[in-house]
Amino acid sequence: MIFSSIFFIFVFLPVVLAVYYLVPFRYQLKNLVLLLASLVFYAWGEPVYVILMLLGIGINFAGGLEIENYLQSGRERNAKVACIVIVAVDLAVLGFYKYYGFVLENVNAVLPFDIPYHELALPIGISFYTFQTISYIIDVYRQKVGAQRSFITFGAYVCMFPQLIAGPIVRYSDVEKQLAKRTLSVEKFGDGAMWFLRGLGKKVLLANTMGSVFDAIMALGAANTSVLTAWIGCFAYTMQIYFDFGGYSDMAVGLGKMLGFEFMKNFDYPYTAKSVTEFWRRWHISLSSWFKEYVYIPLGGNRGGTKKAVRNLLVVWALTGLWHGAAWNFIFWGLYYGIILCVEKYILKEGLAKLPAVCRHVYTMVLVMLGWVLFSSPTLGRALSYTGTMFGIGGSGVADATGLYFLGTCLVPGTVSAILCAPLVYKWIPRITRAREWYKQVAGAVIYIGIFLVSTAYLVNATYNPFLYFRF
Amino acid sequence: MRQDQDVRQEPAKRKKKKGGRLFYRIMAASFAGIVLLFALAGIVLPDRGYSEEEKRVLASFPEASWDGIQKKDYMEDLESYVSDQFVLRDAWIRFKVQCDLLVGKREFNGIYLGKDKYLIQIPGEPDDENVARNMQAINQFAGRYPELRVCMMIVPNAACVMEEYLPKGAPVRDQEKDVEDLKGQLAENINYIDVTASMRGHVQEGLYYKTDHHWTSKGALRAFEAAAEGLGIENPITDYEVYTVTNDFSGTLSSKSGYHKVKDSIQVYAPKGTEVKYLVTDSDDVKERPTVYDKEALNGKDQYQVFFGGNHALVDIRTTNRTSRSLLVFKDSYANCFVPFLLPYYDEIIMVDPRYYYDNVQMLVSNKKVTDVLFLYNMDTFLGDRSIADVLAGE
Repeated sequence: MIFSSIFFIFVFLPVVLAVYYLVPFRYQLKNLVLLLASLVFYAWGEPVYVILMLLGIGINFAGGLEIENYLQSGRERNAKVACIVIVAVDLAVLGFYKYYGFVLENVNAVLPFDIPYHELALPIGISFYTFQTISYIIDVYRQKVGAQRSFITFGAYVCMFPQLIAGPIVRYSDVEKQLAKRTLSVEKFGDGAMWFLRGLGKKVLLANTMGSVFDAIMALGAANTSVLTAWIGCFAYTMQIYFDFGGYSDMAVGLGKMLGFEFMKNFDYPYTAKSVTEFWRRWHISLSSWFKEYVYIPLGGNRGGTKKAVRNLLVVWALTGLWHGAAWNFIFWGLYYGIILCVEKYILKEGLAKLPAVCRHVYTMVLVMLGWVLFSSPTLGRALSYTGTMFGIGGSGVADATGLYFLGTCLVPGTVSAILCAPLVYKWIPRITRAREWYKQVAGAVIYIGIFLVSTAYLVNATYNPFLYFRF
Repeated sequence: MRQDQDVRQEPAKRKKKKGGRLFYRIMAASFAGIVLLFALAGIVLPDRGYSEEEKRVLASFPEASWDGIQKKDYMEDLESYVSDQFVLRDAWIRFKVQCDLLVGKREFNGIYLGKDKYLIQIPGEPDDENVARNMQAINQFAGRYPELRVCMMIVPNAACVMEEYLPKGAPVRDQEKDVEDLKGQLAENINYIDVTASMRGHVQEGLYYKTDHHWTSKGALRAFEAAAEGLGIENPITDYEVYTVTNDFSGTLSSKSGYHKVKDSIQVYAPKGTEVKYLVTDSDDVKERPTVYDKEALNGKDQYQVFFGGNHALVDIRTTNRTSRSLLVFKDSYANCFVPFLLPYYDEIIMVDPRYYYDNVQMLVSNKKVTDVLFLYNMDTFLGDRSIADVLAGE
């Protein structure tokens, strides 16, 4: 089930919220409702894998208690072994479902004979919830948090439906208190509705529109693609992936608020970044901070000399790439960023900062857009040929009628998307919604309800509604 | 106020400020209100069985089964049900199309909105393997019957013939190249009849429906004029009486795109100066009738079915001509409004639609004393066809 569907908004959500608001906090009833709703939500898309997820919850729940037990009785070694074993089990399950086919495909390419294998369907959200359980286990081991003693509460944390299938990767330490106690209010619900509708609009009105432009351009084939068309396609994907994923995160934040939670922000205007390093501080923040905390720093971070730091960076970025999917283009995409970040850190250093802001912004966006070409291409060869087309190699000239057609269809949604990448509008909105004048506040609400109604119209006729981050 | 501060700021702090509370309350009330309103309306209002605007049967409430749940069919059916039965569904779709038009979109669900409100379907990607298989089977068929006159006429779609009506620069498949490719794959003893150029010359006469993926009777007439010689028809009739049988035809493209701002008329052409009479039967209705038209269809869902009452596995037309020529047509729905133009020139015309036909073709050829064979398709259907080879090879 995806948030941007008629079924979710008009059937699942009202039923869940009604029950959730009616039951008291007592005896963890709200957490129980949340857990059950999340299991239904998950089983909706993965009726079989829901068992796998429940097993994962069980193992990590018991593991957390055991580690704490060892620590409290002074058996540090046992705690360490338990922590390693459980993290290994989590990774093994993730690896089996996500990378088994990919590994064997590559092994077979090298071996003189073929090992037969079935491509397994990837359980939705496994990359997200596995990272959550790993962070929990490690944090318990590090004694940053206490182990959760209630299975219901722990289950509700792992499979909480707002962030289950596309993040943000909520760390246990961030929501530990909220799991025990959180407030609900009309205002908070309204705030949640605002966030949800903001995300819904981003996803349905912008991401889907730009996505259909991108798909149409990809279907042209290299021979019919001019430089202009290729750049429009790349721009369209750049917008699609941001509003798709960013919209989803906004919806998750909104649903979280309706349920009484506050999640961390996952995006902070990434396309306003003036260096690639800064871009990654603003893009999918919950993932990059997870890798920093649980991989980069344990590896030694930037201590121990430049050589080691570069190695650590490349390891982290190869893994980041691999996290996005079991395919070579994702690994190269990760390494692409690893290398750029090393160059910015050790070669460009402060040199970049001396350039005018416009140049730094263009530099960043061109690299990010080329990164998306690598990211979105089914094969490396396609990525290279598409990049070639963008620079006039192998396409159909600089500009053609097709390019102008796409420029025309892209003009309004593309401009709106580009404007909404910057903070400008978001700064202006609170001036209305939080104004003292009642009529301004009403006007603010009317805008959001308008977004809601238009999005609903697009959902009713949803022939095109894919979620990019479903694959990960 | 930055967005990130927005996320973390507890509403409790906001309450201290005066502004904003009303906004959040309205948001809460209107969001909950709208969701509940449509959810409840969906429960209270009766389900619709058929959508006139979309021309399809809407999903009905699915029955739960353990198997269906395990395979996700049940969930998908339930989602389709809720979406199909959503309150005011037609109005929502019209509203969506209106919004699309407003922001400059000219493509709706695989259909371009072109000049003069022409809806033009984007031809699909061909299934090359099957095309090669079909062409091979057609060549073998022609090789097996060297005494027959075998012709092939694959009509390009509106996207090709009416190229200049497309939104400027809108990308479509090059069907002229497809024509060349097909010619290249065709055996020498088969005559390929290419009507593209002749049709292009008459494009402003309305050779395709604005709201439907078919060609009009006028389109078929222009193609017939261009094809007559190739079919071995001497002195074809040029004078016709034209009857308009409906003025409010809304075809498949309107339904699929959701664009309903234009209607078509359907015309039928009756040749002048001929006394030919005929009797028609088909595999779905063995009762003989003296007409190729089905008046009932004009009150039905798809008015294009006025021609022969739609597609049938087999249609047999016996005429009062004495030409000793008998024509076998392998065809899709484009033939339905073309074949009426052929009536004055053959003793018998047999139309076979390979998509529904499972009987023996060899028997048909010998029993009906076939002298002429015509493969008549529109390009889009032909390049996606998966049934011709099987029917021709069938023992």
